[in-house]
Amino acid sequence: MSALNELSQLKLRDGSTRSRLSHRQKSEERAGYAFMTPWILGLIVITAGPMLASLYLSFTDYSFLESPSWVGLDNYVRLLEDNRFHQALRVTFEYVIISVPLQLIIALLVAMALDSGLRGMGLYRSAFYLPSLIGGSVAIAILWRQVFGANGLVNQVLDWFGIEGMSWIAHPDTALGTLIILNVWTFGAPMIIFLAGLRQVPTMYYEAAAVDGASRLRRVWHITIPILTPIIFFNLILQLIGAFQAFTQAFIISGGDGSPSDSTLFYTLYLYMQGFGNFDMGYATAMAWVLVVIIGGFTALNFVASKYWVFYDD
Amino acid sequence: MYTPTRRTLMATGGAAALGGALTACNGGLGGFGGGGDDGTTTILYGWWGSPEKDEALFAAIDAFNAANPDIVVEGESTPWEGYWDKLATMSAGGDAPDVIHMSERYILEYGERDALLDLHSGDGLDLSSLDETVVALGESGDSALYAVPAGLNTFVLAANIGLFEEAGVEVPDDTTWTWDDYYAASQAIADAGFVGSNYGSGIESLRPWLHQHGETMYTEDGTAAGFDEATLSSYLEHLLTLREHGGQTADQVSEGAGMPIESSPFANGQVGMTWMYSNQLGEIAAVDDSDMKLMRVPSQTGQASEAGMYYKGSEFYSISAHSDEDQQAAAMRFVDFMVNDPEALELAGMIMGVPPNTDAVEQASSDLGEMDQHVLDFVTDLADDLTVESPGPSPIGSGNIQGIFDRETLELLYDRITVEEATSNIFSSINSELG
Repeated sequence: MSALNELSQLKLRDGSTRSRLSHRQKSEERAGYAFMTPWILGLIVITAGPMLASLYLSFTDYSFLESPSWVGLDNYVRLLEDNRFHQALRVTFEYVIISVPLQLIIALLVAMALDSGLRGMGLYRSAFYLPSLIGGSVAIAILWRQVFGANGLVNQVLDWFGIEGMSWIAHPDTALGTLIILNVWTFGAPMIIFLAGLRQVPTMYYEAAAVDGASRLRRVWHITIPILTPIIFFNLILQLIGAFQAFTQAFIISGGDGSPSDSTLFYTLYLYMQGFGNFDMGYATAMAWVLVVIIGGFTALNFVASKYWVFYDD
Repeated sequence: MYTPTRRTLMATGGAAALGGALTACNGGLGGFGGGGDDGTTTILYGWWGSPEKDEALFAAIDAFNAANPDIVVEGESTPWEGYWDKLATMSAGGDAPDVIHMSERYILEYGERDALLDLHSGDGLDLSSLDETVVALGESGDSALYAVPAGLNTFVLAANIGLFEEAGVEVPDDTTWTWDDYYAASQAIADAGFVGSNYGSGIESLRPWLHQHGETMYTEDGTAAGFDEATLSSYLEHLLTLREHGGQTADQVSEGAGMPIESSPFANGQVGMTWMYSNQLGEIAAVDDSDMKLMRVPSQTGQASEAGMYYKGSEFYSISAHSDEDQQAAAMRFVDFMVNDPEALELAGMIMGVPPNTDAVEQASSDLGEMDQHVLDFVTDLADDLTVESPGPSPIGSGNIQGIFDRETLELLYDRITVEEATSNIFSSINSELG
């Protein structure tokens, strides 16, 4: 938050002097732009250009091997009638709405436990962080298939308690659940950010509250959480965007086609199948733009809602 | 006037250099291949592979390179799952391999979009020793030859003889067996504690079933399903009958989906019978040394000639339309070698199906392994009982149809939908894919 303060100070100063820039300041400004050139070039060549091209392609019939031909809104109209697209939306929303809050709650709880001054905390922190480094990898996705398979680890543990398991990966009712667990398991990244946030809570608040006889729980609820809300908000936005774009795990675990029975047909997976499997790049780019709108909408909604629950200390 | 200081000058220069470096990348990464300085032509041959097949094809490439010093063929193997994505991306960039390993399913998808060379148009490829009906397997409706078959195969059952013996079950005579005999054998295997059979659900096993009912998979022009809903429904009922008689559980089907055949439960000796392409026996033989036998598709009547089986082009060679002329000419010579040269056929064996050049096969066959010999005999003997003409390349849009079967069959086996629902879902999905 101190960084935010500095930024606003800078802005203020900038505003007050804009009208009378000295030579020196002008040349510094130019140097500033010069330093930004690589980034700006990258933005134009690698991001903005392809995005504009894909916007155009979304209004065409583009098989990828032939030149695109203009079809107007056809692709978008087809989306409305495509049952598998609706299934992809259902799967993706279920995944996002369950896994993101769950992941953040666990990340916050673990961060608080670590922050309470455990011995060997560095070790625990690394151990909890590790999954989020490797969780998106192909190796872990393959491991997941084994763990939740018919003869996997989960069923062996259940067997000790006399419960007969099933193939969690294979059954259409449970396959998505294993992917949600995989995502929740990678709570390390938000946890590290929470930990940094917890360090910034001034201890004097806790001391004052303790003197007033506030219980531990009250201190968490009335001091820690409100001060952390900007961090929670930041994590929420980041994880939401990430979850909407989940691909690798679903691609590997489902064998690349949303198996079993489309129960893990993630949005990006279906998009990929349409583009690269079906030679229907126009349709795939239309899907991509709908996803941009969905993610943008969700993020905007969160920013509006944040006025009511995020507390900035300035 | 603005005079640059040392600091700003260096910064600007540095940025310009960086920017230059970024754009330079475009020019730096050239396409593959082309003519070498020493007069040789380098071409790339890409295929989908398995360890067995890679070994055979690299050996064949070495033999070709040794015999043709003016051409250098480089090989690139990709697993089946990634192969088509990669080929699509490379083709879009005009950078496809010069010789493309092709599947019957994609001949028209690529050919009709001008990505493949019409092999009738060039010299250097001798097709005189191939049967006309075999050449037709790679031809479009208006006789452009987009692909030449590397081999023929047929979709069949394979039986694990060792497992039959262990279970004390007699292996049925596949020249006279009916579907009821098949269910009975599967049931007997299951009674001994194994899995009787898998389902082989999809286009390949539906086709003989349709032929047995006097129908075809697609209409003549390839724009719709060529069969009745009632026949499809009877096929789905047959899958459920098999489930009652030792067929795999839904969980087993789901777990096995997308698994390469050499690591399937059949290859691990847990399943008595499996549906597969005849040429896949070699891959199973590589991991399991127990005795395997190919078996014909059961019929309704017990007459071998009424089983509705047919020859299919298992794998094909195509040449990229985007390669330059030298490379296309070199690619033609290489494909000619792969199709006609006894040495190449000997190195490849039956791994890509039974090679269609029967004369060259005869010259090579003295050195075939036991399993390859069995595949060759089986496919050759079948010829006498074939009554169905081999279908041409699959129509555009048919690439998703196997996926439709996979999804709906699984739902059916899990009892999440009824036969009626599965029938109408599959039927309408096929027509909307083709339409």
